[in-house]
Amino acid sequence: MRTIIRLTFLEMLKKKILYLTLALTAIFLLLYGTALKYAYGYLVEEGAIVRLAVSGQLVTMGIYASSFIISFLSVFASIGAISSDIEQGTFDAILSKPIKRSSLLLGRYMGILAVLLPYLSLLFLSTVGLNVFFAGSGASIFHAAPVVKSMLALWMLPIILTSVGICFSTFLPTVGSGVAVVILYFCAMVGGILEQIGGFMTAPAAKAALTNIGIVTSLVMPSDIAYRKASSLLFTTASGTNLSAEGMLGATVQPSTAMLFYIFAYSLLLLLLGIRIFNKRDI
Amino acid sequence: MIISTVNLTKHYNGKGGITNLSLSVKEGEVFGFLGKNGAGKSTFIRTLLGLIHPTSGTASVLGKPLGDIEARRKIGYLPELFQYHSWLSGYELLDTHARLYGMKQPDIKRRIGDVLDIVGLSGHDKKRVSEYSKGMKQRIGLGCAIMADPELLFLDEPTSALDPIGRKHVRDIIHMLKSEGKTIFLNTHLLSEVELLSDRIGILDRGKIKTVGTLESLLNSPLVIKLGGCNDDMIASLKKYDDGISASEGIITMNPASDEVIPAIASLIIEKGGRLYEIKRMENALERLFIRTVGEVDAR
Repeated sequence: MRTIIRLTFLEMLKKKILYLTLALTAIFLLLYGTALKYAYGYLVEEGAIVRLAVSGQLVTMGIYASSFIISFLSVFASIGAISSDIEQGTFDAILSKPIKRSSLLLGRYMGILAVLLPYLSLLFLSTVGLNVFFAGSGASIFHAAPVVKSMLALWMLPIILTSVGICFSTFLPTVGSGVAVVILYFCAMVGGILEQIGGFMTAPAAKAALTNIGIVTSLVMPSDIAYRKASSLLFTTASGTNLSAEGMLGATVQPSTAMLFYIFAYSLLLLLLGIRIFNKRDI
Repeated sequence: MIISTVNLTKHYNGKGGITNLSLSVKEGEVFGFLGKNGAGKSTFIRTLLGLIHPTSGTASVLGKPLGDIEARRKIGYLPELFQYHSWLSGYELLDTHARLYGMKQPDIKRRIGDVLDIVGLSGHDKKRVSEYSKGMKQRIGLGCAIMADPELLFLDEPTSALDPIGRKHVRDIIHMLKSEGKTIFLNTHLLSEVELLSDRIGILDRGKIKTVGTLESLLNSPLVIKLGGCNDDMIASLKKYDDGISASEGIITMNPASDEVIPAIASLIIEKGGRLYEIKRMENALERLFIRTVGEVDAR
């Protein structure tokens, strides 16, 4: 399995995927940092409540953009992890060697995560770090513990999406699995937004309907849960107060701890399903 | 037996592939597997390697069931088309395949040097495989196949991308491997390669095995004698070597039971007043056998 992890990592390096991603990330952070500089410069003249509200929106925007980037990277890295190599015939030479198909699939999974998780950590910490740097005392809610917890919660995003992408990749062609995962991802995103909107509604029927849509979509594809959990953890103070920005991107309705267990079970189940399908199919 | 299959069948959506294929390959032999494009040769190899699952039938490779991990440790495989990670350098590619075999450093480093020498790519190992010529890619693929010094080699069209010099090089490698006692299963549609390399051959057509045997037994290639001074007495005397002898315009065609009698035939011709110019087995015998075998089916 270690050889496959190494091979997957080498592929990202040799095909310049990693360098390109890092270069474009640097551009994103430069633009985001520039926006923060001017936004926080303006906020100095505002009162504490306005500062807190706007800085919350700015951080949320950065984290949301980061989660979007990492989501698409996870999808693109995983949807061809099995199918692309089958289509190109490269698995013929690999699987004629003494390696189990399950090891190949898990090696691919771990190889992708070995690149994505450090990248996500870098992106997340840079996003929060830029806010702390430009906001000064305005971002004092960011202590080390919630930041780390939030980052670890966001790790679930590539873990989920890579599991789904690899599982689909065992029985669908690369483009097909890409389309399927992206549609599921957007369904989850819309479901998450509807659930947040439902949280503000006062009419019981509408509130229940929107909340239930959010729950169902998050059971089918729990990717949005990872973002909401990360966001709520980031904005939860030591006293337990949730200062998440309200609105579509906020996380005023917090995902439960049971959902976190569900996410791990979901990812594991998809990997096992992927292994089962891969074992049975012809290469 | 190194390879043994009984009624092995692989159908795709109920058709194509191979049907009831029963075959045995002995240790240390070079088995040439002939067939037209699409006859099912690659399907057979891929089934034996566990890459595709048989529809029915049984088979064993190196005494183990199909796809067995321990058996694969002793198998080398060169796929038909170049299907490797071409973004790696030649060295990295061999290194990756060595690791897949479970080889350890520094054995890997030493073996890569040996393999590069064998396949004639020393000095090209730092270059990306995508920059290799077709022939170099074929040879690095062969290098991957022999990396772990396997007991059994499956070579699927190993010379298809090569020029005449490259072909000779690969033939020399196969001869070397054979002399080391390796069993080689050679898939090809190039009859000349099979003729030069194989101990036994099998001809596959539309997924079914049509004939299997040693080259000598299958070819039964007639002896062609060019001579002057041919006479009835000479022909009558030569009939003791082959009743079905025929003669016309200075050429005698006959099929003696063994090549051992050729010197006696030559002596007899001279003794009977003939002038002997040439004695040789008829050329393109394998081609004729192949066309006869496959053509008979086409005609039905």
